[in-house]
Amino acid sequence: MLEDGHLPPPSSSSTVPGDEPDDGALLAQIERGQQAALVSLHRRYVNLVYSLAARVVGEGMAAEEVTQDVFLKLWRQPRAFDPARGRFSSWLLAVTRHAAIDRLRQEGRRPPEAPAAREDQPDPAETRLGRDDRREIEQSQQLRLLLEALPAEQREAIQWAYYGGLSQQEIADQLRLPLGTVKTRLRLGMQKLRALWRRDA
Amino acid sequence: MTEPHAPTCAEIAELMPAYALEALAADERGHVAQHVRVCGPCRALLQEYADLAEGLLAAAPACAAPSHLEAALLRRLRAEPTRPPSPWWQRLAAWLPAPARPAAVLAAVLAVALVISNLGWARAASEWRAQQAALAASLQAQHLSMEMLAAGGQRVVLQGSAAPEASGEFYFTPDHRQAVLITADMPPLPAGMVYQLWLVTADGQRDNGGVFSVDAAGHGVLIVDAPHDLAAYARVGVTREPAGGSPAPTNPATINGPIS
Ligand SMILES: [Zn+2]
Repeated sequence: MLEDGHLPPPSSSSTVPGDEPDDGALLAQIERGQQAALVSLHRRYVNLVYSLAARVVGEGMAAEEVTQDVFLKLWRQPRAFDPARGRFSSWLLAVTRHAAIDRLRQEGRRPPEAPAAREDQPDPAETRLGRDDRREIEQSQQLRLLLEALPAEQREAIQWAYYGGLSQQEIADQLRLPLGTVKTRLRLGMQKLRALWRRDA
Repeated sequence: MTEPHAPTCAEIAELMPAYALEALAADERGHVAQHVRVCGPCRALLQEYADLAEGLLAAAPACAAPSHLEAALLRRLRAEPTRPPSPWWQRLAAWLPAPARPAAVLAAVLAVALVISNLGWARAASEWRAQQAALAASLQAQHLSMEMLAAGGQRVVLQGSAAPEASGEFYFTPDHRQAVLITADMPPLPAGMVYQLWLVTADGQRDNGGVFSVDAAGHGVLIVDAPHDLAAYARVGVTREPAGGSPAPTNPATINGPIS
């Protein structure tokens, strides 16, 4: 356990503008039971978490509850995140995806259809996001555009799998397609995304 | 390089997109994981797909979270135990519905037991020993025993041998891995002594089941994480032992009973 006054040095991977403590410092404070630190992380990431939850379970009550559960998990087990294994925001989103997919399965419902693209996209990242987080989110929003530009059947295979939590076999059953067709669509779509995304980056 | 019948790099590369999206069947997933452990180029390619999948998590269409979420989180935080946690029996007592629903009560008891195992027995033990007499009263008031039985658990009755008026009930879960011992009318403990539960095999081997103390009425409660399937034991018994417990019983059983 870290003592007060011995916070880890700010890591360059999550530098935050101004005097805001970075994610690592806030996590250390959460470990000491400081609720204010959790509220800070909530402000920083709630839109990101909610957006993913809403993509998986649909906007509304279920997405709100998934979001709450993710932050409560963080409160109860701040050590579940291992900084050696990557960025905090990525971990938080991976936790969110699993929580949302569990929720879908518990309710025994199919994933919602992809929402129509909207013109009035709010900024998913609060101004308090770290520089690197902000850059990553900008990249991810480019990725969303690339995804939308894929042929519909390839995009849908990726979406059913990743945002719907379905295996390729389950997608084939759902869409009444041969398994091989689903595999091909998903593979071609991902190969294309990878190629385009690398060129962009 | 691959084994003669192992999948080739090209075959593995075909599986990677679905692997990164967690959409592969278990056997295929195993093939990929095994292959990239020994193949550097494939590991690098898989990392690219993993980065892509990570990016896709943040690529969901952006929506603004409702502004009331922060207040709702604060409300739920207030309901959370502060650190260090409040005595767990208080939380348990607060969960017990009245009239209690069997499955809910059993689940609550086991959840508490799991939370304690996660915290580590050492940390929970001192707080827990001090509070378990109060828990006994609270649990018994809620007819926990009836509820656990209704949930499919089993009951073992322990009768006084060294102390004729003492008794106990030992309930275990349908999977035989966790149990609760509730005692009544146990003789008071002298300073520096505790009661210790023993799980006894058919050939007489005695495994430690944990230690507990009792209140003025001889009420005590012990939640047991069984070292082995409880069906593997023939009897349970409780003896008086020096504080901290003994490696093997040093006194005659205060109460004991057969596991049918
Ligand atoms: Zn290879």
